[in-house]
Amino acid sequence: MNLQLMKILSRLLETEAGRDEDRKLPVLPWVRILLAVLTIFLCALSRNAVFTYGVLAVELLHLSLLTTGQVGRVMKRLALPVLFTALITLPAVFLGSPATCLTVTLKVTESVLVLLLMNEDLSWKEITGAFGALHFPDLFVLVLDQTVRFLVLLGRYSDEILEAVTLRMVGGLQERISKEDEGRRLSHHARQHNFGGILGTTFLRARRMSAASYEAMECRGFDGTYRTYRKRTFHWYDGAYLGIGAVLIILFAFCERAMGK
Amino acid sequence: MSLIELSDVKFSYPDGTPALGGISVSFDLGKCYCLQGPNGCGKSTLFRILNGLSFPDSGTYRFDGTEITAGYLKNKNNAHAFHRQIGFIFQNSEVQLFTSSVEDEIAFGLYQMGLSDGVVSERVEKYITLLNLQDFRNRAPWVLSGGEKKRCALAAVLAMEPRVLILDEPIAMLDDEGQEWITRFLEGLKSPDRLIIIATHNHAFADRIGDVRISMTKDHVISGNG
Repeated sequence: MNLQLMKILSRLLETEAGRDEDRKLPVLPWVRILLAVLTIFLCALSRNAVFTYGVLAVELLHLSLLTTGQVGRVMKRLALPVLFTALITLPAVFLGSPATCLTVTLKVTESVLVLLLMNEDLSWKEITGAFGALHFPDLFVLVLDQTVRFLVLLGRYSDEILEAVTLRMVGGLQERISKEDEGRRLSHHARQHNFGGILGTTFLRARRMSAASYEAMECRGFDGTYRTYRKRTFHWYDGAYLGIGAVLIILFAFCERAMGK
Repeated sequence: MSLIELSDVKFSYPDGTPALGGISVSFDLGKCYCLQGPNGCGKSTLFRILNGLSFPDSGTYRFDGTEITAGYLKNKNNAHAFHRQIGFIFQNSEVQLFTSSVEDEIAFGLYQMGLSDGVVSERVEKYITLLNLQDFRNRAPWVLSGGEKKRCALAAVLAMEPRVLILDEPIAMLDDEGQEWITRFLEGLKSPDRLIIIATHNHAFADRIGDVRISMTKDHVISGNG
């Protein structure tokens, strides 16, 4: 269970460590998020294969510009949703509509790929900051930030407790497993019992930490406003990136019109 | 008149645990006070009262001539004006750092003060440089080491340029290098316009940095002043 906790934590943190700041697109985060949402939206609505394949081609081109490590990470995360979608739409093939299976799987691939590519470039801070720039409510951004923060801190705390419990169980566990079936049953009960205790302790800790954090915010004059610090202003390349969105909309309209004829 | 005056302040927690048994003490601008005493004598509770996080059961707490009560701080403008004058560094920096980057941490209090983007930017850069945080500016506070978190917390509080700086065990859990850095930094902060109050168990640190030593006893009262 220690390993699973650490894996989840590391997922939250690994893109922070693995991100190559020099290879990042210099575009403002909110511009990237806006374009990503637009791409997903247009792909979902599209009835024209030309548009869908065109978007996929551009995304794969973007993917090819990443490092090997990043490509590996993206492909690993892309595999499960794509395979799952292909599996649940497979019956359509046998019911005489193979195009449905292909179309739905393709659209899921594009949507997930857009998000994964964005995730490789943007940190959690930039994503939550972008919501602030897009005038989402302060409370929404605050809750997002605090969720990520508490996931990391409480995950670490739980892991430390698990280690302490594991160390304390060593002597007792050896006695139990000397009688095979009996040992397996007892150690399973012991783990279940400890798991409940760890959850309870983590919950209490979360309460104390959130109360202390609120007091710290009060001490700095918190009155409900929560702004993220932004020092970069809108540049020409941000406009150019938004222009890609405009091109996408025009292409979508053109392809849809072609479908209508 | 002293900047901070406590007069026969008593406080007990809701479960009846006594924390302060009648504290009368005053703090003047331009001095650095070191508060010492055994664990459980009420140092942290006293700091909570000084910061307006808890309020005395009896007695009075005056800040710059104004009595600080729960009713007084319910007014948003009063609370703002009060909190921007007192900076508090918690013993555990982890709970004090709640944003997603060091820059955001420093800018948080400045935005609450209603400062313009230009002034915020200027102060963020100033305190990042002062506290030597350039390499960590975009990092999340939870990935920093203990000493880096302490510096980040200091930057976030000092950026608001408070008149009073209250620190609860500032060198606890730091290595020798970290302790030395914080000690020298705090020595540099002492000025006629600033009041510094520090709780510490470390006598050498108190000797080095404190102008006035205040001792608290297990009976939750002050035994020595000066």
